[in-house]
Amino acid sequence: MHEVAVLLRDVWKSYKFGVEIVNVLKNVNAVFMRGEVIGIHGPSGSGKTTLLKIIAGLERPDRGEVIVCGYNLNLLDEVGLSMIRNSIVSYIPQDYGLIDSLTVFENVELPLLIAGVDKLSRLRRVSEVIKYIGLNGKEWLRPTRLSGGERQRVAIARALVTTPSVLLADEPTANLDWNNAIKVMELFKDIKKDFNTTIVIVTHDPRILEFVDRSLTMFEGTLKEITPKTY
Amino acid sequence: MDFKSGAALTAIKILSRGKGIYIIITTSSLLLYYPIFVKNPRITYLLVVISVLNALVAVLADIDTHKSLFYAFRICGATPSTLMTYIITTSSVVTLISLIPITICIDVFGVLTSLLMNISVTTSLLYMSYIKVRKYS
Repeated sequence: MHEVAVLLRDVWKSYKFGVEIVNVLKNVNAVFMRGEVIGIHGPSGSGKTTLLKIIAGLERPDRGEVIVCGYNLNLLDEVGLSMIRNSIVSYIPQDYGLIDSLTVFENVELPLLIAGVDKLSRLRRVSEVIKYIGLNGKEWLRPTRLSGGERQRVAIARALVTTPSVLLADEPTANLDWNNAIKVMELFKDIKKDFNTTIVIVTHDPRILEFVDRSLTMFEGTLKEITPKTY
Repeated sequence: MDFKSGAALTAIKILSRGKGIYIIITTSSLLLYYPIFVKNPRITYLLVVISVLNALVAVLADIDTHKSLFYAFRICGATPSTLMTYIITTSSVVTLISLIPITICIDVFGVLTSLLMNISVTTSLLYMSYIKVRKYS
Protein backbone atom coordinates (compact mmCIF):
# COMPACT_ATOMS: atom_id res chain seq x y z
CA MET A 1 0.00 0.00 0.00
CA HIS A 2 1.30 3.47 -0.90
CA GLU A 3 1.67 5.99 1.87
CA VAL A 4 0.76 9.64 1.27
CA ALA A 5 3.66 11.95 2.18
CA VAL A 6 2.21 15.31 1.12
CA LEU A 7 -1.39 16.25 0.48
CA LEU A 8 -2.30 19.70 -0.82
CA ARG A 9 -5.95 20.51 -0.97
CA ASP A 10 -7.33 23.73 -2.47
CA VAL A 11 -4.24 25.78 -1.52
CA TRP A 12 -4.32 29.51 -2.21
CA LYS A 13 -1.65 32.08 -1.47
CA SER A 14 -1.43 35.75 -2.33
CA TYR A 15 1.05 38.55 -1.69
CA LYS A 16 0.42 42.24 -1.47
CA PHE A 17 2.68 44.40 -3.64
CA GLY A 18 1.79 47.99 -2.76
CA VAL A 19 -1.91 48.27 -3.47
CA GLU A 20 -1.96 45.29 -5.81
CA ILE A 21 -2.75 41.77 -4.55
CA VAL A 22 -1.12 39.00 -6.59
CA ASN A 23 -2.41 35.44 -6.35
CA VAL A 24 0.74 33.33 -6.37
CA LEU A 25 -0.99 30.00 -5.84
CA LYS A 26 -4.50 29.35 -7.13
CA ASN A 27 -6.40 26.28 -6.02
CA VAL A 28 -3.40 23.96 -5.90
CA ASN A 29 -4.26 20.30 -5.37
CA ALA A 30 -1.66 17.51 -5.31
CA VAL A 31 -0.72 14.24 -3.68
CA PHE A 32 2.91 13.15 -3.33
CA MET A 33 3.50 9.56 -2.27
CA ARG A 34 6.26 8.20 0.00
CA GLY A 35 9.41 7.42 -1.97
CA GLU A 36 8.43 9.39 -5.08
CA VAL A 37 10.71 11.85 -6.88
CA ILE A 38 8.54 14.68 -8.17
CA GLY A 39 9.65 17.40 -10.53
CA ILE A 40 7.77 20.68 -10.67
CA HIS A 41 8.64 22.65 -13.75
CA GLY A 42 7.63 26.18 -14.53
CA PRO A 43 8.88 29.64 -15.46
CA SER A 44 10.22 32.12 -12.90
CA GLY A 45 7.49 33.72 -10.84
CA SER A 46 5.00 30.90 -11.40
CA GLY A 47 4.78 30.11 -7.66
CA LYS A 48 7.09 27.08 -7.44
CA THR A 49 9.20 28.36 -4.55
CA THR A 50 6.12 29.55 -2.65
CA LEU A 51 4.64 26.08 -2.96
CA LEU A 52 7.81 24.49 -1.55
CA LYS A 53 7.89 26.97 1.32
CA ILE A 54 4.28 26.17 2.17
CA ILE A 55 5.03 22.43 2.22
CA ALA A 56 8.08 23.15 4.42
CA GLY A 57 5.97 25.18 6.83
CA LEU A 58 8.03 28.30 6.15
CA GLU A 59 4.90 30.08 4.94
CA ARG A 60 1.24 29.58 5.64
CA PRO A 61 -1.39 29.35 2.90
CA ASP A 62 -4.24 31.89 2.83
CA ARG A 63 -6.67 29.06 2.27
CA GLY A 64 -6.57 25.29 1.88
CA GLU A 65 -5.05 22.33 3.65
CA VAL A 66 -1.44 21.17 3.71
CA ILE A 67 -0.92 17.74 5.25
CA VAL A 68 2.64 16.43 5.54
CA CYS A 69 3.15 12.88 6.81
CA GLY A 70 -0.20 13.05 8.55
CA TYR A 71 0.39 16.46 10.19
CA ASN A 72 -2.02 19.20 9.18
CA LEU A 73 0.32 22.22 9.06
CA ASN A 74 -2.58 24.66 9.45
CA LEU A 75 -3.18 23.35 12.96
CA LEU A 76 0.42 23.75 14.11
CA ASP A 77 1.87 26.80 15.86
CA GLU A 78 5.38 28.19 15.22
CA VAL A 79 7.02 25.64 17.55
CA GLY A 80 5.13 22.78 15.87
CA LEU A 81 6.19 23.95 12.41
CA SER A 82 9.80 24.24 13.59
CA MET A 83 9.70 20.64 14.78
CA ILE A 84 8.29 19.53 11.41
CA ARG A 85 11.17 21.32 9.66
CA ASN A 86 13.68 19.77 12.03
CA SER A 87 12.53 16.18 11.74
CA ILE A 88 10.07 15.49 8.90
CA VAL A 89 10.64 17.98 6.07
CA SER A 90 13.95 19.37 4.86
CA TYR A 91 14.18 22.34 2.55
CA ILE A 92 17.18 23.11 0.35
CA PRO A 93 17.06 26.72 -0.84
CA GLN A 94 18.37 27.80 -4.22
CA ASP A 95 21.28 29.69 -2.64
CA TYR A 96 22.06 26.62 -0.45
CA GLY A 97 21.66 28.62 2.81
CA LEU A 98 25.10 27.64 4.12
CA ILE A 99 27.01 29.62 6.74
CA ASP A 100 30.42 30.60 5.44
CA SER A 101 32.04 31.02 8.85
CA LEU A 102 31.23 27.44 9.83
CA THR A 103 32.98 24.40 8.38
CA VAL A 104 31.27 21.77 6.21
CA PHE A 105 30.98 19.53 9.29
CA GLU A 106 29.47 22.32 11.43
CA ASN A 107 27.00 23.27 8.68
CA VAL A 108 25.80 19.68 8.38
CA GLU A 109 25.69 19.36 12.18
CA LEU A 110 23.38 22.37 12.62
CA PRO A 111 19.97 20.56 12.50
CA LEU A 112 21.25 18.01 15.06
CA LEU A 113 22.50 20.79 17.36
CA ILE A 114 19.07 22.38 17.15
CA ALA A 115 17.42 19.03 17.91
CA GLY A 116 19.59 18.68 21.02
CA VAL A 117 21.34 15.47 19.88
CA ASP A 118 24.37 14.52 22.05
CA LYS A 119 27.91 15.14 20.80
CA LEU A 120 28.88 11.52 20.10
CA SER A 121 25.71 10.78 18.10
CA ARG A 122 26.18 14.04 16.17
CA LEU A 123 29.75 13.13 15.30
CA ARG A 124 28.73 9.66 14.12
CA ARG A 125 25.70 10.81 12.10
CA VAL A 126 27.43 13.77 10.43
CA SER A 127 30.42 11.60 9.46
CA GLU A 128 28.04 9.01 7.96
CA VAL A 129 26.19 11.61 5.89
CA ILE A 130 29.37 13.34 4.70
CA LYS A 131 30.70 9.95 3.57
CA TYR A 132 27.39 9.16 1.86
CA ILE A 133 27.38 12.34 -0.21
CA GLY A 134 31.05 11.90 -1.11
CA LEU A 135 32.67 14.83 0.67
CA ASN A 136 35.16 12.81 2.71
CA GLY A 137 38.27 14.78 3.57
CA LYS A 138 36.50 18.12 3.10
CA GLU A 139 34.74 18.19 6.48
CA TRP A 140 36.92 20.93 7.93
CA LEU A 141 36.86 23.26 4.93
CA ARG A 142 34.67 26.33 4.83
CA PRO A 143 31.95 26.36 2.13
CA THR A 144 33.73 29.26 0.39
CA ARG A 145 36.56 26.86 -0.49
CA LEU A 146 34.21 24.46 -2.28
CA SER A 147 32.88 24.35 -5.85
CA GLY A 148 29.19 24.97 -6.66
CA GLY A 149 28.51 21.23 -6.93
CA GLU A 150 30.20 20.56 -3.59
CA ARG A 151 28.27 23.37 -1.89
CA GLN A 152 25.06 21.85 -3.22
CA ARG A 153 26.13 18.49 -1.76
CA VAL A 154 26.76 20.11 1.63
CA ALA A 155 23.24 21.59 1.51
CA ILE A 156 21.88 18.14 0.63
CA ALA A 157 23.87 16.58 3.50
CA ARG A 158 22.47 19.12 5.95
CA ALA A 159 18.97 18.35 4.72
CA LEU A 160 19.60 14.61 4.98
CA VAL A 161 21.24 14.50 8.40
CA THR A 162 17.93 14.24 10.27
CA THR A 163 16.67 11.52 7.84
CA PRO A 164 13.56 13.44 6.77
CA SER A 165 10.56 11.83 5.08
CA VAL A 166 10.22 14.71 2.62
CA LEU A 167 13.07 16.55 0.90
CA LEU A 168 12.28 19.79 -0.92
CA ALA A 169 14.87 21.15 -3.33
CA ASP A 170 14.48 24.59 -4.86
CA GLU A 171 16.28 24.77 -8.23
CA PRO A 172 19.04 22.39 -7.08
CA THR A 173 20.81 22.48 -10.45
CA ALA A 174 20.34 26.14 -11.33
CA ASN A 175 23.89 27.17 -10.39
CA LEU A 176 25.59 24.06 -11.77
CA ASP A 177 26.97 22.96 -15.12
CA TRP A 178 25.23 20.00 -16.77
CA ASN A 179 27.76 17.39 -15.55
CA ASN A 180 27.36 18.48 -11.94
CA ALA A 181 23.59 18.72 -12.41
CA ILE A 182 23.50 15.05 -13.48
CA LYS A 183 25.58 14.06 -10.42
CA VAL A 184 23.18 15.91 -8.09
CA MET A 185 20.14 14.29 -9.73
CA GLU A 186 21.78 10.85 -9.43
CA LEU A 187 22.37 11.60 -5.75
CA PHE A 188 18.65 12.38 -5.31
CA LYS A 189 17.80 9.04 -6.95
CA ASP A 190 20.15 7.24 -4.53
CA ILE A 191 18.57 9.05 -1.58
CA LYS A 192 15.12 7.94 -2.73
CA LYS A 193 16.31 4.33 -3.10
CA ASP A 194 18.24 4.19 0.19
CA PHE A 195 15.91 6.14 2.49
CA ASN A 196 12.51 5.93 0.73
CA THR A 197 12.40 9.74 0.89
CA THR A 198 9.82 11.75 -1.03
CA ILE A 199 11.79 14.29 -3.04
CA VAL A 200 10.16 17.35 -4.57
CA ILE A 201 12.38 19.21 -7.02
CA VAL A 202 11.45 22.57 -8.41
CA THR A 203 13.16 23.57 -11.63
CA HIS A 204 12.93 25.80 -14.66
CA ASP A 205 15.12 23.36 -16.63
CA PRO A 206 12.97 20.78 -18.48
CA ARG A 207 15.98 18.42 -18.88
CA ILE A 208 15.85 17.72 -15.12
CA LEU A 209 12.42 16.08 -15.57
CA GLU A 210 14.15 13.07 -17.18
CA PHE A 211 15.40 12.11 -13.72
CA VAL A 212 12.08 12.20 -11.84
CA ASP A 213 9.28 9.67 -11.38
CA ARG A 214 6.49 12.14 -11.96
CA SER A 215 6.44 15.65 -13.37
CA LEU A 216 4.08 18.52 -12.82
CA THR A 217 4.01 21.92 -14.39
CA MET A 218 3.28 25.17 -12.65
CA PHE A 219 2.05 28.17 -14.56
CA GLU A 220 0.68 31.38 -13.06
CA GLY A 221 -0.06 29.68 -9.74
CA THR A 222 -1.80 26.56 -11.02
CA LEU A 223 -0.34 23.07 -10.90
CA LYS A 224 -0.95 20.49 -13.63
CA GLU A 225 0.20 16.92 -14.07
CA ILE A 226 2.53 16.15 -17.00
CA THR A 227 3.39 12.53 -16.23
CA PRO A 228 0.39 10.51 -15.03
CA LYS A 229 0.44 8.81 -11.65
CA THR A 230 1.82 5.29 -11.79
CA TYR A 231 0.27 4.00 -8.55
CA MET B 1 12.16 30.46 27.31
CA ASP B 2 14.37 27.35 27.39
CA PHE B 3 18.12 27.76 27.14
CA LYS B 4 19.39 25.87 24.10
CA SER B 5 23.03 24.92 24.48
CA GLY B 6 23.39 24.19 20.74
CA ALA B 7 22.41 27.74 19.86
CA ALA B 8 24.73 29.20 22.50
CA LEU B 9 27.62 27.10 21.17
CA THR B 10 26.90 28.25 17.60
CA ALA B 11 26.78 31.89 18.77
CA ILE B 12 30.23 31.55 20.38
CA LYS B 13 31.64 29.92 17.21
CA ILE B 14 30.22 32.62 14.96
CA LEU B 15 31.48 35.41 17.25
CA SER B 16 34.95 33.94 17.60
CA ARG B 17 35.35 33.72 13.81
CA GLY B 18 33.88 37.11 12.94
CA LYS B 19 35.29 40.62 12.62
CA GLY B 20 33.13 42.03 15.43
CA ILE B 21 34.97 40.36 18.30
CA TYR B 22 38.32 41.81 17.17
CA ILE B 23 36.82 45.28 16.79
CA ILE B 24 35.31 45.21 20.26
CA ILE B 25 38.40 43.73 21.98
CA THR B 26 40.67 46.29 20.31
CA THR B 27 38.43 49.25 21.15
CA SER B 28 37.87 48.09 24.73
CA SER B 29 41.62 47.59 25.22
CA LEU B 30 42.33 51.09 23.89
CA LEU B 31 39.63 52.58 26.09
CA LEU B 32 41.26 51.06 29.19
CA TYR B 33 43.82 53.87 28.91
CA TYR B 34 41.26 56.48 29.97
CA PRO B 35 39.98 55.00 33.25
CA ILE B 36 43.52 54.14 34.31
CA PHE B 37 45.28 57.41 33.46
CA VAL B 38 42.62 60.09 33.06
CA LYS B 39 40.65 60.78 36.20
CA ASN B 40 38.00 63.04 34.71
CA PRO B 41 34.34 62.19 35.40
CA ARG B 42 33.21 63.85 32.13
CA ILE B 43 35.54 61.69 30.06
CA THR B 44 34.61 58.55 31.97
CA TYR B 45 30.92 59.09 31.25
CA LEU B 46 31.79 59.55 27.60
CA LEU B 47 33.00 55.97 27.84
CA VAL B 48 29.41 54.81 28.33
CA VAL B 49 28.44 56.30 24.97
CA ILE B 50 31.53 54.89 23.27
CA SER B 51 30.84 51.49 24.81
CA VAL B 52 27.31 51.42 23.34
CA LEU B 53 28.64 52.42 19.92
CA ASN B 54 31.38 49.81 20.23
CA ALA B 55 28.85 47.03 20.93
CA LEU B 56 26.69 48.23 18.07
CA VAL B 57 29.59 48.25 15.59
CA ALA B 58 30.68 44.78 16.77
CA VAL B 59 27.27 43.33 15.95
CA LEU B 60 26.95 45.25 12.68
CA ALA B 61 30.38 44.01 11.52
CA ASP B 62 29.06 40.44 11.42
CA ILE B 63 25.45 41.20 10.55
CA ASP B 64 25.54 39.27 7.24
CA THR B 65 26.76 36.16 9.04
CA HIS B 66 24.06 36.57 11.71
CA LYS B 67 21.45 36.92 8.95
CA SER B 68 22.61 33.79 7.12
CA LEU B 69 22.57 31.95 10.42
CA PHE B 70 18.99 33.06 11.14
CA TYR B 71 18.03 31.82 7.68
CA ALA B 72 19.80 28.48 8.20
CA PHE B 73 18.28 28.16 11.68
CA ARG B 74 14.82 28.74 10.24
CA ILE B 75 15.29 26.16 7.47
CA CYS B 76 16.71 23.61 9.93
CA GLY B 77 13.74 23.98 12.27
CA ALA B 78 15.00 26.17 15.10
CA THR B 79 12.29 27.03 17.60
CA PRO B 80 11.80 30.62 18.81
CA SER B 81 13.67 29.62 22.02
CA THR B 82 16.70 28.54 20.00
CA LEU B 83 16.75 31.83 18.10
CA MET B 84 16.40 33.86 21.31
CA THR B 85 19.22 31.87 22.95
CA TYR B 86 21.45 32.71 19.98
CA ILE B 87 20.53 36.42 20.12
CA ILE B 88 20.97 36.69 23.89
CA THR B 89 24.29 34.81 23.91
CA THR B 90 25.69 37.03 21.15
CA SER B 91 24.48 40.22 22.89
CA SER B 92 25.80 39.11 26.27
CA VAL B 93 29.30 38.32 25.03
CA VAL B 94 29.54 41.60 23.09
CA THR B 95 28.13 43.58 26.04
CA LEU B 96 30.48 42.04 28.59
CA ILE B 97 33.58 42.84 26.52
CA SER B 98 32.39 46.38 25.83
CA LEU B 99 31.83 46.93 29.58
CA ILE B 100 35.40 46.16 30.68
CA PRO B 101 36.69 49.78 30.59
CA ILE B 102 33.54 51.06 32.30
CA THR B 103 33.65 48.67 35.25
CA ILE B 104 37.08 50.04 36.19
CA CYS B 105 36.10 53.66 36.67
CA ILE B 106 32.36 54.16 36.78
CA ASP B 107 30.06 53.59 39.78
CA VAL B 108 27.64 50.67 40.06
CA PHE B 109 24.76 52.77 38.70
CA GLY B 110 26.77 53.71 35.60
CA VAL B 111 27.82 50.13 35.00
CA LEU B 112 24.24 48.88 35.30
CA THR B 113 22.99 51.63 32.96
CA SER B 114 25.62 50.70 30.38
CA LEU B 115 24.84 47.02 30.78
CA LEU B 116 21.15 47.61 30.11
CA MET B 117 21.80 49.99 27.23
CA ASN B 118 24.34 47.73 25.50
CA ILE B 119 22.32 44.58 25.87
CA SER B 120 19.10 46.23 24.68
CA VAL B 121 20.78 47.88 21.67
CA THR B 122 22.50 44.66 20.51
CA THR B 123 19.50 42.43 21.21
CA SER B 124 17.15 44.78 19.35
CA LEU B 125 19.49 44.96 16.37
CA LEU B 126 19.78 41.17 16.13
CA TYR B 127 16.06 40.67 16.69
CA MET B 128 15.20 43.18 13.94
CA SER B 129 17.56 41.34 11.58
CA TYR B 130 15.83 38.08 12.44
CA ILE B 131 12.39 39.60 11.75
CA LYS B 132 13.67 40.86 8.39
CA VAL B 133 15.09 37.43 7.50
CA ARG B 134 11.84 35.77 8.56
CA LYS B 135 9.80 38.17 6.45
CA TYR B 136 11.84 37.70 3.29
CA SER B 137 12.63 33.98 3.49
